[in-house]
Amino acid sequence: MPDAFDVIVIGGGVNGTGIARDAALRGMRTLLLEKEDFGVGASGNSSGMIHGGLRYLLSDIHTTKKSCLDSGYIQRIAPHLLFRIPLLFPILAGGLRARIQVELVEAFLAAYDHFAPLKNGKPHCRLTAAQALTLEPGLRPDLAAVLTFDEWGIDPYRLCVANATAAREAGAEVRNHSEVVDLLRMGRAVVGVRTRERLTGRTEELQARRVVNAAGPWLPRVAGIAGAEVRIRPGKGVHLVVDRRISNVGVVAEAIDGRQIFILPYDNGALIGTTDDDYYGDPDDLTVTEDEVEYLLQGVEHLLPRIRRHRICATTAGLRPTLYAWGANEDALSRDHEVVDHEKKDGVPGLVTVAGGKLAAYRLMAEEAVDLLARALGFSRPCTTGSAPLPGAEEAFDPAAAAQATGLPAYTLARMHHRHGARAHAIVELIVAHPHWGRTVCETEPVTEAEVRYVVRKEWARTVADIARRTRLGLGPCQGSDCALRAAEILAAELHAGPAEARRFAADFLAERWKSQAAVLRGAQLAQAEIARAAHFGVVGLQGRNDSHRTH
Amino acid sequence: MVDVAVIGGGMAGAAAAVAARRAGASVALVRVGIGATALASGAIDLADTLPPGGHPRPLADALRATLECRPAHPLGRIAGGDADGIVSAYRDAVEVVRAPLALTGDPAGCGALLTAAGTWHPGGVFVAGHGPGTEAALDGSRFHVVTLDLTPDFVPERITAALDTGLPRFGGRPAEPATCSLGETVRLGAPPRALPAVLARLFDDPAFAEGFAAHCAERVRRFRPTHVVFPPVLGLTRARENLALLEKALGARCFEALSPPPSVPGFRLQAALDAALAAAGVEVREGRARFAGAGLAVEGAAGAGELPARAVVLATGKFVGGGLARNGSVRETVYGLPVCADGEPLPDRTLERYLTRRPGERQPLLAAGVRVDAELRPLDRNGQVARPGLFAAGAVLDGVDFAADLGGLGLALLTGAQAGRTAAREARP
Repeated sequence: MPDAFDVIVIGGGVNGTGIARDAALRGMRTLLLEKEDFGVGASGNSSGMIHGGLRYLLSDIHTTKKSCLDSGYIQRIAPHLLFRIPLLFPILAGGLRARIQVELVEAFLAAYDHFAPLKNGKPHCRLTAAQALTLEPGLRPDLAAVLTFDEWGIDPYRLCVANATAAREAGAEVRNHSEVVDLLRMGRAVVGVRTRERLTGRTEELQARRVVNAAGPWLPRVAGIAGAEVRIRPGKGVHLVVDRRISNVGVVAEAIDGRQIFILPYDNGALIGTTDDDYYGDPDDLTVTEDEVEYLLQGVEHLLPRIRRHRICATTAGLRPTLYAWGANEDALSRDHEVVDHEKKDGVPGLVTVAGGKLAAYRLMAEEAVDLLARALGFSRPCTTGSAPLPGAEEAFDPAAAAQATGLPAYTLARMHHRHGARAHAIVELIVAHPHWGRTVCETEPVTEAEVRYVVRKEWARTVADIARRTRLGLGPCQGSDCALRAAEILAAELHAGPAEARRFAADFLAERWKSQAAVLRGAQLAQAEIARAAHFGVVGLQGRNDSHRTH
Repeated sequence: MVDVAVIGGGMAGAAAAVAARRAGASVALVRVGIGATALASGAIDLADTLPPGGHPRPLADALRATLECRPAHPLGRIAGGDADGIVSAYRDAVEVVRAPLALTGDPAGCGALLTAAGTWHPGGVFVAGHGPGTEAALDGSRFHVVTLDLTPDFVPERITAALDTGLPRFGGRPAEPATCSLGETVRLGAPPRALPAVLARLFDDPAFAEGFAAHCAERVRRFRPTHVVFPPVLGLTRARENLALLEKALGARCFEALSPPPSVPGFRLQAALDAALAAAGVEVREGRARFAGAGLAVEGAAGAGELPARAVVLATGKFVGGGLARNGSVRETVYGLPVCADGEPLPDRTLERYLTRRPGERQPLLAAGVRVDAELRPLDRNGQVARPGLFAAGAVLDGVDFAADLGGLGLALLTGAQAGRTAAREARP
């Protein structure tokens, strides 16, 4: 057996990757294990906002402050990952009540303005209905006033991969598609893990002085292996992906039960979200229901009456690992985070769990967890994760110059820069060396062949879905219609696999996309699904029609 | 008053219209836009004659397999569900359009066509210009794949791998390994990408096509191939002429691979159907058919007005064609006929249980449509004929999921021809 690690981190979401980065930067010998791919749990399926936590201003103010503070740190260490989302908060006309509500909301936002400098936010302003309609003509006109505020959006998968890359560059070992199937014990203590590689079946035993359970929705399952108890209230959250960017501003709406929901500009589309419901099912098998879709559309329709004309091309679903409390409604639960030392809590030495939290404050939770580890293991280097740039943020990158060098449109390079920061230089070098790798694989973003090869070679992408999470390939209106097979063949080439395997890679990705469309098959999307299935399965037979066994 | 009105201008509608004309009826066809036929690959199949892993099987066997696992399939309505009877009816239907569509091959045969993705698709009867088909003599064949710089999705390695693995199974008898060679890619021009339809227009210019043929001949001759495979872009109107040109220049059998929808061969097929309608003397009205209590009317700038008819064939397609639409519930969009999935009426909402996990598996929601009797007359909720003089054909029928079970254009052709004949008989007893 190899030498023991100082820390093994279980879970490759934003918390796990953040902890691995911090631990590695402080000199700990670190291993990060993610059972599927970075961000597939709560992180990747979140609303993708470095959320100031406006909602918690009254109920949970230190969450708001922590989130805003840490938003500021994230901006410093990875500015290329962030994009500003201006949001409208419309108040429906309705006599005196409405006018009072306008004042109340404005006061609320004015208080929130105090936190704005922490996250480089702009102060709120008040717009008349007419002014708001010029920004968003789809709004219903009978508005008392519209207030504005802003938040930062971020690609959560890119954030996880950036942290994982930073961890590797600081000396950590990082594995995805690697499931922890058991914890190694010595008496009551946890001394390591047994892993199983999902793509090869190979198992391995690895020792560590400390094991960190950052498994998000799977926290109780992992802790349970050690006989330690971790209680969370998994909160299911669903989003709808609109096929085009219908607005450049977000709109805050109210659902039928009074919850705040929103529609946001996101990539080349729009995101509608979200729900929050206690979930008792299998975290590995989340499905979106038509009820949830109807709930969100109905709420947005209240302010944007023509929303149903647009095509919803996909959905996302994730589970928040919210801290447990009995008796509170899902929305009212605390979004604070907790670092649990199981030696103190359950008499199980060697195991630490991180629970709860918000995307925006991941770095802070990681710092607290690694402080605990550092004290226990005798590491004294200070935490630098708030100032050390994440991969891609170390230097500048000029999309216009790169466009000249590659002959590709500047927009393509700008999007590449958004995802990779200055690491886009490496992708540009690939294109300069192999000009045909500049061809577009997915039109929606657009994504070049060079970028696909780069994420396979450098960012642990082993399936088309992995590639999609890193590049946004196939996640927009196309849902993989042309790019699934193209990307699958590039992946097969990089992995030295043959055409039958390439078809299987493509079929697997299309199955994931299908799952995300099941609840939104209506109108134009249903016709699109009919054509796409006819193409992939009727004509081409990707399900394995020509092969000796069907993959479907 | 016209004898037969056909709603829908794809394969099912055109076959119905031409069949009704042949039976002596006066026919008007109403259509709006394009549907699945124009967007199709151009392949015409009725059932899966290339089961996975095995050897090709005759159409009758494939039909029996379909009917066994899909009891609600509309094929069961043809010839009482007898496989040999269905084959016979299919042959008759193919004759209705064989000449205008330039079909070749044997409807009951089990040939195979190459797709651009490097797989094989059943091809008993097919539009001439695809291949290799039902040729028996593929022993010792030498295949050559021509690629163009403007069709990056036509990847030669896929084609050669498909030939390597597929020919021994589909070549009719054990074959000597056929060799496959690739020339360097033929460079056509400056823009980095071109949509296939745009590229096809280039090939419609005879001067360009001749230059291309000469260029290919220079590069391909030394490989002395017996068969040459091209991407399916060799013209919108002059594809057959261009293939003949290429065969002469290269001294080899030339064909285009099938491509997934939307494809140039699909556009050509639609154009050929349109020409067949004109040649048969069918009155074509551009517009949307609407049924309002009394009778059919056509809405739309060009062909607006009433359309009194003695019999009607509904060939409006599924979701792509617009014959069915879903907002909350699934509706049939002209007559509001009840929609079923595999014979069971679909509920109003929440249709998640009519979907399964893997998209290549059968999806009852996407097989849904109108239930019909043995004469292809739509049925109401009580299983009675919904309207006298009304017939239905093609993808609008309940029980067909092309993606999982195949049976797209072939089924449209079969049910269209049948419905057209029966409607003509009904209109003129």
